[in-house]
Amino acid sequence: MVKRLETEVWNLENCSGCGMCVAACSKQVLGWNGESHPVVQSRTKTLGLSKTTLDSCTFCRKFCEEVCPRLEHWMPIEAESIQAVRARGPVFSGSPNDVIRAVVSAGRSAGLLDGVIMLDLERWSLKPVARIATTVEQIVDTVGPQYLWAPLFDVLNEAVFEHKMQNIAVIGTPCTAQAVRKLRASANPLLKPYQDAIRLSVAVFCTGVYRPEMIEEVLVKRMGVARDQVRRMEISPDRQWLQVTLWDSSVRTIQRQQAESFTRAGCGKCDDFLGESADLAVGSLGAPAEASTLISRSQAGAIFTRNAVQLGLLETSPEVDRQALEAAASEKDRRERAQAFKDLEILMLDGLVDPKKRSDAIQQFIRLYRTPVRPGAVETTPRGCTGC
Amino acid sequence: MAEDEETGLPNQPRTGVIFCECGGLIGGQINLEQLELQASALPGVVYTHREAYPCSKDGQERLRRAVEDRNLERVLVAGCSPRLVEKLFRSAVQATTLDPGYLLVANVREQAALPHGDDPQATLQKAAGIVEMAAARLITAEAAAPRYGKVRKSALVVGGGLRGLSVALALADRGIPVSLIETEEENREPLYNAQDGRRRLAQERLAAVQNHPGIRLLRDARLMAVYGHPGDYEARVALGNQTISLQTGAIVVANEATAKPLGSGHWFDRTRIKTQNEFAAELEAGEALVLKDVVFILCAEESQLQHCSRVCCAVGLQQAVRVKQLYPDANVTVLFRELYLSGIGRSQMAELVQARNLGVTFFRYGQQLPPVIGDKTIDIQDLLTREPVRIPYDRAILSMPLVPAGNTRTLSTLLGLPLDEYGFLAEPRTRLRPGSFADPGIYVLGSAQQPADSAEALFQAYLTSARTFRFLNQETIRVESPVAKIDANLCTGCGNCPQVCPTNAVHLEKRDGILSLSTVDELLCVGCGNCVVVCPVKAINLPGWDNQEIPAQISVALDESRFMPGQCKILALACEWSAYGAVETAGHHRIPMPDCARILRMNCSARFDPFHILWAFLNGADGVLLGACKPGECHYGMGNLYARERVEVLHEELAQHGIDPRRLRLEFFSVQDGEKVAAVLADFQNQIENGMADRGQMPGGVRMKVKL
Repeated sequence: MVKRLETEVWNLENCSGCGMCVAACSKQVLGWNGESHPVVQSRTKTLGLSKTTLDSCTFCRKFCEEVCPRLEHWMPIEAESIQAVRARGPVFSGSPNDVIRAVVSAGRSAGLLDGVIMLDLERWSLKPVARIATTVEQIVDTVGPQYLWAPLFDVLNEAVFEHKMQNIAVIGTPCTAQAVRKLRASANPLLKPYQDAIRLSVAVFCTGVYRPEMIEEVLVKRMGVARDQVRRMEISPDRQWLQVTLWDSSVRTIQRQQAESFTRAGCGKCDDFLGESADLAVGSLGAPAEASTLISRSQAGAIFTRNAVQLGLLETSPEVDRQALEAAASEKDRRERAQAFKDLEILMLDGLVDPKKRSDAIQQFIRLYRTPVRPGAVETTPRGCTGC
Repeated sequence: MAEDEETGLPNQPRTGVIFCECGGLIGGQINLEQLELQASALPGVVYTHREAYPCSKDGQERLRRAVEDRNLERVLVAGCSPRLVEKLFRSAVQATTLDPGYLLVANVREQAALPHGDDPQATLQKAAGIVEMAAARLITAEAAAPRYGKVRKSALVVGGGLRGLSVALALADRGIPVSLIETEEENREPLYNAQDGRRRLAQERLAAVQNHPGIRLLRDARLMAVYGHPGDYEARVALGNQTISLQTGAIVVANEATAKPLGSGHWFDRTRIKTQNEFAAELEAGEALVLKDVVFILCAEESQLQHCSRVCCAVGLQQAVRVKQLYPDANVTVLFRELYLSGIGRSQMAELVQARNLGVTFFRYGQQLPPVIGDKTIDIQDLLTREPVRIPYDRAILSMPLVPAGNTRTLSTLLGLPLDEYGFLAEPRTRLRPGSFADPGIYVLGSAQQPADSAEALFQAYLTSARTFRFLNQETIRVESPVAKIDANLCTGCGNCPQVCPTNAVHLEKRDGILSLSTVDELLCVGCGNCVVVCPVKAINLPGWDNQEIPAQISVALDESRFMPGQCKILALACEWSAYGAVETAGHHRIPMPDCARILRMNCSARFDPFHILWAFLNGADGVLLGACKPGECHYGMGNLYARERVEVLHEELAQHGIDPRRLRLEFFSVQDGEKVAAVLADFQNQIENGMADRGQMPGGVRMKVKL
């Protein structure tokens, strides 16, 4: 039932917007309706003269719960190797997106993959969309993740069931990698087609993605650039600038911090910056200039990296600033605190109706808020008292 | 705060409590001796004192001496309204060692003494509760020191219309360097005002601006970002392909409204149907036109039912007269709904008479039956005769409403200015301080705000330039409001706070590591506390209304021992600009209030934190009343609307958890609504006592009727 997602994810604005629940829903009743999270469509059935609302959710095997990345707090997968890499093909570049393209196009050439799911920018509207790339050319053509939000797994069913792909790579943000991890961990046999098909999950380092309205507001209104002038839009490799390349090949930039207020609400609590659940995580943090950091966390990741190196599309070096990576990982605590406050809200609401949880809620509030308490003022109900 | 070695508890600051008798007004109703006795038992209290009028000169002097002699670290005055006397007492202790921020006033007069005269015991209880609440707040209170900022003597004017040009000239003539930015590459003053000389005036002004040494005119320029605070802004301006940075002391927004174009939804034959603007261009061109039947339709667009553009009636009339003068044989008809013909300095009534004398026909149509434009004729229902009229036309001129310029919305996000329902920049405090915006260095005038005719436009321009000049003429500015402080160790850089700040005081910055950091501009912060509420990690502090003080105060306010057994407990969080004022008004008028209500003064409804509300319920509140300003009257822009949104979400969550959402109630007040606040509280109490449908058991315990 979608109930759990509703109360624990959507209402608390925790949704990552990955779209995995929409793809996995067995009844196809989840969909997008202009909200920042999926919504349940209500269906009605006409029986004679009466109309009945169908509760499609009740008898489901909770596919949505089983794939939602936000219902699970994962420990990071230990990194097997961390290296600095540069793409040597299809283009010479060190930017994370080009490195990812090099890895997956090498995988496609070697027959390890038959399709890639990744985000692209719709050329006409500059809106992010999920795409399936099946050939190396398509992979090279696709823009890749640009920190603009679109539900990545919207095309998953198309890839698995229409194109009958057996070996898919998913390229996205750390939350999409978490969704893949959650999917892989599920024991539900009906999710097996997805589990088997997804061979590789790749994540870019991420601290939050923007709502697509950002383009209209920042690009069109503030910078005065019409959509049709734009040839390509990217976040600079150091994530400091939003770069817009126009058709007259001039480049306009705007500081990324100005776009920060368009961050998706669900990103505020995510503490996975470094793709800790992905087979491969790529980003510029910790890498020397003109290179990216590539973290391989699984056997699949190692295979794909080796393959790309063998095909000459990737060059590696060990010179990674591990301290920067560790520092970033240590900033997790702050986001964990955000989660603690969200949990507190639920705990407090529960504590209102359930006397057993009441003192826990009070204690937790005092701990998080560091509220000064007069002696004896709060300990009216000792721990364990059921308040009967 | 140091910790006590023996108990391990925080060391209580030395607190002094002054009780005001208010010449018998308080002393006659409350047993102050008892109250003093109770207060001296409060933690940290080392000094208590009773006085007839502490606000008198002598009283202030005694207070000052007490602070110095007893080395007080906190002072609490139990007397009348903090809104009235807190400033006075704070200035009294200015010269002492005590930080004025550590002085609080607890209102026992309006909340306890005046309304509850008949039952001494209950009145004493209530007063003791109020004093204790304030004392709890004092323990954790942090003082907000005033901040000072330098004022840079230069101004930035956005918008190169008549108003913008006039403001720029007026300021530059007084020796203030001005930068004027205009979105368009050419000046685009609406043509249709040719008659009243506006266009010529604008052109003269433009020439003057171009020749003025003190004005820098930037064309094809766009405001991209604004940093800084009143008196010292940094504006990033995109100029063609490059970005430049301008330092300025004040920003004047004077962008012009534009006439709405005839949209593609209109099927009209555009050679015969024109807008006023297009027709003015035709007349201007001076070519001989073949005009036989000319019809002017005023208020042609539906949306004019909503707001009046105030210039089009006059323009339509002028054009009608002009057509009649140029082509005396033409049949000229004016269809109108209402005629708005006033202006500052002169009235266009003369033109109306002239038009009538020249033979222009007028028909009035009703709001429900707008003119129907056919292929060759226009059908209307004449409002006077109630008869349908069919008017042939070969030229129909529609007056289109003025709508906000395209960049208005962007300016609103960049400068943190609220928009009204039509998309114009709205004055947030029309009643309290007309003409002023949340940020004292930003001025808005003219059509950015409302459509206006040229006389009014000039009037606004000079008024605004005078205001701006007054602001720029001061050496430093002083800001006293509480200021939000961000704990860099906790901030996650989530980007929530910049979105909700009414003054754009919060910005995200890059720092070492992977997350951004929010920073608050101290001179810009008005201390509404909205950012504190939206911060997911509570990394923001607002001294005076802090996350420590408020819960501490709530716990004390709802302390079981201060209530009669079985009495229902209501906590009211009251915005000090409205609901708290209303409570005081009720006190003045001696309107009785329910004994069970505890009122907490808050700075703004934006500070009503869902966590605090839940905390109140956990501490045994049976109901929480939130008192906010009426929509449109918020002191900080839109705090009350944020509060409403949060309450809606909380209602939903309470209902989901099986708690009756009626236990949380949001009401809007004005300061004079004393009777309303008493009535609402009484009704709320009644509602709670007559049963709430809760599942499970609320912390209040046994006395509630539980319905499933």
